[in-house]
Amino acid sequence: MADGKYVLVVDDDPDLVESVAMNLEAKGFEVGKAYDGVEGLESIKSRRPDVVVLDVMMPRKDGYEVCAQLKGNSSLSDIPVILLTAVGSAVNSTSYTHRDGMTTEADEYIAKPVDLDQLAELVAELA
Amino acid sequence: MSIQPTRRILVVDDEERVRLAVQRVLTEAGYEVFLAADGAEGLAMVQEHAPDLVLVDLMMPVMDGMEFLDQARRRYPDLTSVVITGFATLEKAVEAMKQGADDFLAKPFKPQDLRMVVERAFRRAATLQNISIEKSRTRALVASMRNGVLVVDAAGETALANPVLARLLGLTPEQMQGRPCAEVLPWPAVCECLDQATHRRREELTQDDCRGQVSLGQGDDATYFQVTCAPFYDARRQPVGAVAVFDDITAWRRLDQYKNEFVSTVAHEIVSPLSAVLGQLQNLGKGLLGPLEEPQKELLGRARERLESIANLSKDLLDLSKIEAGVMGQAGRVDLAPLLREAVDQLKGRAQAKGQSLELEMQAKLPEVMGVGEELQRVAVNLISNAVKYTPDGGQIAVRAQGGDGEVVLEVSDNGLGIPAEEQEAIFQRFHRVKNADTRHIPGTGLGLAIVKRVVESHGGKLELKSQVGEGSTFTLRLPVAPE
Repeated sequence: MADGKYVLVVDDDPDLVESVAMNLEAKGFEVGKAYDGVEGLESIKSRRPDVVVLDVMMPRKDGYEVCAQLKGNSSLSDIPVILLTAVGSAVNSTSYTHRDGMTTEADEYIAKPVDLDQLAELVAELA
Repeated sequence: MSIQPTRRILVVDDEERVRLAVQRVLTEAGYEVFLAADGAEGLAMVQEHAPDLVLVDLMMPVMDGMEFLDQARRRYPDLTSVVITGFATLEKAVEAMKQGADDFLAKPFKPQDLRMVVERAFRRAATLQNISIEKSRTRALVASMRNGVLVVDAAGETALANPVLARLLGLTPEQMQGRPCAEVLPWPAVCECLDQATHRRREELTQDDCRGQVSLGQGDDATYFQVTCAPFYDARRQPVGAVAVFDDITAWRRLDQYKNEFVSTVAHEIVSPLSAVLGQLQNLGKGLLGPLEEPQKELLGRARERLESIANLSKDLLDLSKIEAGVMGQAGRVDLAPLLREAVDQLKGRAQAKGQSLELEMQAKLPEVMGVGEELQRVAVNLISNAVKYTPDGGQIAVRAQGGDGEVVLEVSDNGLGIPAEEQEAIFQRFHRVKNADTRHIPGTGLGLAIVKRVVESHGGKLELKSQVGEGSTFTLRLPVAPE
């Protein structure tokens, strides 16, 4: 069950953050909100979430970079990350190869437009 | 018929009897005739009357026929001439012809011999003139083209290169002349193509054999060419050389790139807000913002469906632009097995919701193919999702894959609605959808099969469709196996 689990939702679209949060809260999760990658990382460092829902395309620091920093930090690397990909495709995109050749692996991905219930199921699985 | 000016013939002979006889015969035949008794007089008359033909006796005192012709031709290199030889000395005649006389006439001759030789000389002159016009026309055409042109002979050496091509290569046409293809072109593939065109029999050539793209330079400064190679033949239909035409398509490629970037930006900008609105509608519909009556829920559901179809269209456009730009993924060796499993897993839920069976049958060790895994998976997803969409509840869908004969064959078959024969070609066009009572309520963008076709073509594969209305459809995809 979702009781007591804390989920951080990071997306630069406040409407989307609000919708996702509302649905997760209705299912019993506690939800934190952040509106870009830098804010997201700060929030994670101040309070460790059980799951991070992370948009890919964001100003200041994009989702891949945030994911790479989490996975590269031994004390944070076990936090499950769900990427919200706007690139809209049927293909698997949990992994992303950066320009420098490094690859980032998220735990799950879900393509926009997001089905809120499908996202909630993923969160429940990983939390 | 065109009216031709009277042709002028100059007769140079030291025997007056012969001159007058020739004059009589040729005047009767409709020619204008001038007479000269020796070489010096003849040269003066060539200059004065510009004759179309000179009949000259080889044996004359002071200046003989050969010397006369030699001097006359120095001023008029294209002068048509027939030599008259006494005593049927064939040797002299042969020598004269080697030096450029067009024909000879042996004394004594009959009037009909004279007429025949003169007519033949005029015909030959006309043919030579046509050839020279044809050559000049070809050169002017090739030189004034905006495309680069290279003509190679049967030995693969440059017979003709136009200024546009030479400039591209940093050479002059003269520098290219006679040099082997490989020395003048930086593209071995084009030389190979020309070589094949020259050495294959006509019936073995297909258009595809000799088309391709090449580029010059790097990055933003690169220039791209569409190259077409075609052989040319001698009178016995044997190829004796080939032509390569280079069409600069850099601007088209750039436009295409802008289009892809534009489409992808627009699609992105559409999907993002849609995603937010769809979330809001979903929460509203669930009653998270207060209880709703049934009609309100139903309307919200329909609104969501419509918005979802816009989102799907944007996603398909994004994918298509990515595939066209070649940025969908990295090309390499691809094992189709996990891609197919993933595609079937993705769609299993939708098939189950319609009570359909969705089976995947694969050969134990499927040979690898060359290509972009993400694109091939997209192909599988599109074909299977079409099968699910266009097969009524409770139907059967089968995905089969097997290797053999240098190819991997992927088959997606269903026992669904089927596709009318007259639609079977059109469905691969962008935005084309089969519209009838059965399909009216099935959502779709009309881009799925266009994406499939595009990907299959870029992978060197073949796509076949067998379908019967009311019985179902089978899409068969053949991809070449990756080299060992």
